[in-house]
Amino acid sequence: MTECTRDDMRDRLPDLLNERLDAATRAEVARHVASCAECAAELELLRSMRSALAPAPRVDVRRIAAAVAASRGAGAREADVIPLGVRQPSRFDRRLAWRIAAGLVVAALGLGTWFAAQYKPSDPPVTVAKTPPQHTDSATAVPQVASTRPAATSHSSTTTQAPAAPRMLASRGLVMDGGVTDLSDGDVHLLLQSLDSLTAIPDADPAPLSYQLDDDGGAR
Amino acid sequence: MTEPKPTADEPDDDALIARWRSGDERAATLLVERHATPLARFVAGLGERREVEEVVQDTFVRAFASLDGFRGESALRTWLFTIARNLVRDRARSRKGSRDVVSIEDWHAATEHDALDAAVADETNARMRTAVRTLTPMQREVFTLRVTEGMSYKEIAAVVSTTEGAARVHYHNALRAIKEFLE
Repeated sequence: MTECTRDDMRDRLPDLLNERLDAATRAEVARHVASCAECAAELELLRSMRSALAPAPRVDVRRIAAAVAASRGAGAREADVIPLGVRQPSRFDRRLAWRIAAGLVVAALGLGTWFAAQYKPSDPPVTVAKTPPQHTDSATAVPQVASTRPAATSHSSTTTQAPAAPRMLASRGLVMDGGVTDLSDGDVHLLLQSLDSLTAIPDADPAPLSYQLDDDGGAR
Repeated sequence: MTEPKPTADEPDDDALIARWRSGDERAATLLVERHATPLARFVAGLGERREVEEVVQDTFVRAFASLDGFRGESALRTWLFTIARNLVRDRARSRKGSRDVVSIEDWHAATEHDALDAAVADETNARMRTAVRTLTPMQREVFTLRVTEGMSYKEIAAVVSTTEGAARVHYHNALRAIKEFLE
C-alpha cells in the first residue's frame, strides 16, 4: 500500500464519516478516498471503530426534558437542581472544606506554639546538703557542699528544700547565688582557715602601671 | 448514528436556545432529543456505568439553568460535553475506588452481558475495544470524540481542556496505536 501524502485529506476522514463536511469538501475528500488505498482502508477502519464504540445506553429523553422544564419552573440554578440520587459536593464546597481544615490546622499549630512558649519547665528543686568538713589541711578543704536531686536525697537531717536556695556547683563548691552570709560562723571560720593555707593564689588585681616621662614628654 | 440531527427544516441550536429563552418549553425538549444520545454515549465512554442517564440529566439541567450566561462562543454541543465530562470526573473523584466507574470496554462488556448477546459478540468489535483500552485516557477521549461524535479538533480541545494542535496529535497517536495493535 502506497503512503498517502495528503495529510489534509486523511485529517478529514472522521468528518466524512460523520457527515460534517459541506458538499464541495465532501466530494473532494470522497474523490481522494476513491483513488487512495491507504485512506480507503483507514476510512473503513474508522467506520468499524465507530460501530464498535457507538452503542450508547438508552436514556429517557422525555424524563430528562421534564426535569429541565421542572428546574426552570422552580427557578432552579446550579445549586438547587433536581436531586439525582446523591448530589455530589460542588467544587466550591470542596474548596471551602479544605480552607476550613487548613484554618483549623494553622490555628492548632499557633496555639501549640504559644503554649510551648509559655511553658517553662521548672528545674527540679535542688537539695543543698551541707556537711561538716572532714578535714582541713587540704588545699581543697572548703565546706563540702553536695547537690543532689530529691529522689537521691538521703541526708534528711541537713537537707533544705530551696526554690530560692543558692545553686551550687558540686565540683567546685562555688556559690552562684547568695554568699558567705549563708554560712554559719563555724563554716566561715573554716573557710578562712582553708584560704589561709592555700598557696599560689593568683593576684586578682592587675599590676599597677607606672610611666616615667622624659624631659621631652616621651614615655619610657 | 441514530440520534436526531438538525435538518434544513429544523431550527439549529441557537434558534432553539432563543425560543427557550422566550419561554418555549418545547425548544428544550428538542435540544434534549438532539443531544441526549451522543451525550450518553460519551458519558458511558468515560467509564460511567450505572448513572449514565442521571449524568445526562444533570448535564442538561445545569446547562439550561445557566443558559442565560451562555454567549454562544462555542457550540452548545461542545458546552454540553464539557459539562458532562466535568460531572463524570467529579463523580469519579468522589467515589474513588468504587466499582461503579468502569472503563468503556467493561461497560460494553457488561451491557452486552446484560443483553444476553455476548454469545454473538463480534470478535472484530471486541478486538477494537481492546485496542482502545491500550490508549491513554486523553487519547481515548480525543479519539472517541473525533470518530464517534465527529467533533472538530477545536471542539475537542474545548471539551478536554487542551489545545487544538495537541488534540490533533493525540488523535493521530491514538490511531497509530490502534493500527499497530490490530496488525
